[in-house]
Amino acid sequence: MKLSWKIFFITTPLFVLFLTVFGTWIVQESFQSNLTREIESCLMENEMFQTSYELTLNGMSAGQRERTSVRAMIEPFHRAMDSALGCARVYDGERRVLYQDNELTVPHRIWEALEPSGSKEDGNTGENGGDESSRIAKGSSGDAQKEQAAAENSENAFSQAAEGNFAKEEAAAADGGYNVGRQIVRQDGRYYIAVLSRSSSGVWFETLRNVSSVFQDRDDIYGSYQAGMLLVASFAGLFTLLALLLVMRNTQKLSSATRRFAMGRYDTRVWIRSDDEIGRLADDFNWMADVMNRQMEQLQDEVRRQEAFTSAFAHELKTPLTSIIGYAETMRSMDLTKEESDMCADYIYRQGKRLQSLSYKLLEMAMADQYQMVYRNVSVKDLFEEAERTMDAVFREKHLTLIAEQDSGFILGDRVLLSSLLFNLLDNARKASYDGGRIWLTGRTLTGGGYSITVEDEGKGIPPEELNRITEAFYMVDKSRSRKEGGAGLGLALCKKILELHQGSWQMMSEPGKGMRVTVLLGAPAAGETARRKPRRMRRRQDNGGGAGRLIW
Amino acid sequence: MIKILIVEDDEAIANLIRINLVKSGYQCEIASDGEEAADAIAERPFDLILLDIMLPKLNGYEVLEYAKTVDVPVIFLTAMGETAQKVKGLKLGAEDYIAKPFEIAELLARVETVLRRYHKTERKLRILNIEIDTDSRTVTQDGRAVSLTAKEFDLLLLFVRNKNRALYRETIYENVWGGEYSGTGRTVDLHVQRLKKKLGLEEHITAIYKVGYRFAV
Repeated sequence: MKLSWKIFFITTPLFVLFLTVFGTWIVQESFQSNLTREIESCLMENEMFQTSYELTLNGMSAGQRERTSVRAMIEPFHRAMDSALGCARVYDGERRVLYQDNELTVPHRIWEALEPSGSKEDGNTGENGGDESSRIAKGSSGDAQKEQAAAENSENAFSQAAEGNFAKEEAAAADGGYNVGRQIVRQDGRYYIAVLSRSSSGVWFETLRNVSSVFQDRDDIYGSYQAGMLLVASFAGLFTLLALLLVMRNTQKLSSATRRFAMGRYDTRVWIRSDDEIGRLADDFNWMADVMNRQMEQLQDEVRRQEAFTSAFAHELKTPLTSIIGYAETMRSMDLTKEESDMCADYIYRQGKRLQSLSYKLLEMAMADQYQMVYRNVSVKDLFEEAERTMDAVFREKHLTLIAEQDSGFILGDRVLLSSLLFNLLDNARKASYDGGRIWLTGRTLTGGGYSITVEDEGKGIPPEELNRITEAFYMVDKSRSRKEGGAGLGLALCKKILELHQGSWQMMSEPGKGMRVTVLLGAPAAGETARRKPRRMRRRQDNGGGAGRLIW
Repeated sequence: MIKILIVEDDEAIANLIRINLVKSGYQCEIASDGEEAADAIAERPFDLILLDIMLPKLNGYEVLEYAKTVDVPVIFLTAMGETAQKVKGLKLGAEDYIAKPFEIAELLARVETVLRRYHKTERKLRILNIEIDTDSRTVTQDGRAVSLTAKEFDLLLLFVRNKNRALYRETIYENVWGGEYSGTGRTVDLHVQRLKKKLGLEEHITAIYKVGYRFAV
């Protein structure tokens, strides 16, 4: 079941229950106060009635008492009292009717409550009002009995309880030795308050009042309250349901977005304009999706680079292999002239050399990963001189002029790797240069500490859009040309690695046709030798991806 | 004479292909980049193009598109051995592909096959007193029909196409039977013996010690 329906089915009955209890209480409260008022006025009436009788009786002589019937005695003052009183009856000590204004009788058990002999039994009556009244009703007419039984069955619990209450009060009154008792009796669908009192002369006065209207009012109010409550409850329920559905629609949006995301549509985002928890959840979802997308892109990039490396590596490996195998096969299967076989042998040799250089470069790269660096202060002058010596032969071959110049200084680093870095940069400059060109090698001490080495040539240059790819392994801007020059496309990848190890950075600038300038920035020599003892830690720091070795274009 | 354009930026490989194709009696021209290839295709007619995919300037696929406009069959050379590349090349209309590194005999066989498909080779090969009809797969010697099994016919064809070349047993096996040569078994020798006998080629087909055979003319 949907959450909104669940909440609806839980809250609505609770709401109805609370309203019912509260409403019933209010109605009952007002009903009881009305009833109490009625009872008070009935008691008063009865008292007045009795007092009037007593006064009349006292005002007569003994002879007059003999002559005058009770009826004659009572009628005048009874009339004089507002006979809205309804029904009054007078009994003598043996419960014989001395006077009554109409025939209406209701069964009540006040007698039992007031007679001293019956007082004990009346205590029970109080506790068990319903049963008692039916027992007493047996003594009266069959008609009343039926009514009583019907009342018991049909009357709701509240009115029964109310009657029980009054029976208790009545019992208490009897125990206190009062001569007045009262009871609410139901007969023929009407409610009466019966009051019975005993005068000092031993005569009983019974007054009855019809209070059906009070009960009727209570039932009416209760009925309309229930109708109103149902209306309110159904409106409230409907409103709750609508509000919930509205809220849940957002969660549905969110869940369908999640599903779409899970199915692989990673560009899915949720648009919920809301400040509530669901809105925040949606924001969090979007945030998560963004982060995941970024990470996936990174991974895909990584994979793409890996694939590019693998396929480039395969290409670099297969091309010389094809030549070597092909020429060897040609030589062994065919009768070749001396010239032809010389040419084949030459190709095999050259391609073999190419494979060798590739494997050396790869080895160097792998070594750089594993290499135990020896940090010491390397003299830039020594470094430059070594580079000039190494490059001399190849530069002369191409009639290149190397113009080297440096501020005297030291670089903290590994001498072998720094030489390799310089050699690779100079070799790249050589490959790019035209015959007879110039190459500048400049070293400068930086004011903020550190040292910069610049290699500049006036060769072919590199288009700007290729600049950020040239450090990829096997990437060659001009393949056929760089192969002729004996490149494997690994030089700059190696340089990048060396720079990372030295926590250096570099800048490259180039204009196609004009030349290229690479500036390498390396750290200043440290005062102490501490770095030397902890090369491993330094490496780990770079592995964690610190800013070291970041390329600045 | 059949003219083949070799488009390959690696000089060594281009030369290798050229030497072998020339030895097999084809006329060759080399283009070392895409633009050069396109120019050559536009200016001169070719019967076949051997095309590398990774080329400077214009890549192989672009040259392939261009070659299709003049209806020249293309075999492309690929270093990757990647299925996606092969599929792309074939879909673009290449006739066949050769993966680097390749063997010369394989290269020649594929060239021959494509040329035959385009009816650019002669249907009938004549050598010594033997005439071979590649379409009907029949052989006649001095006007008399000689009955050969399918394998013997393929073997003869291989010898004729690679005349004066030493054919290694493994090369023979891979080209006639297909699959990997195990190095043992006398299948190749048995068939060569029978072929020699049927056609009386004892003098021309000579065994080379530890290597294989050579059909010398």
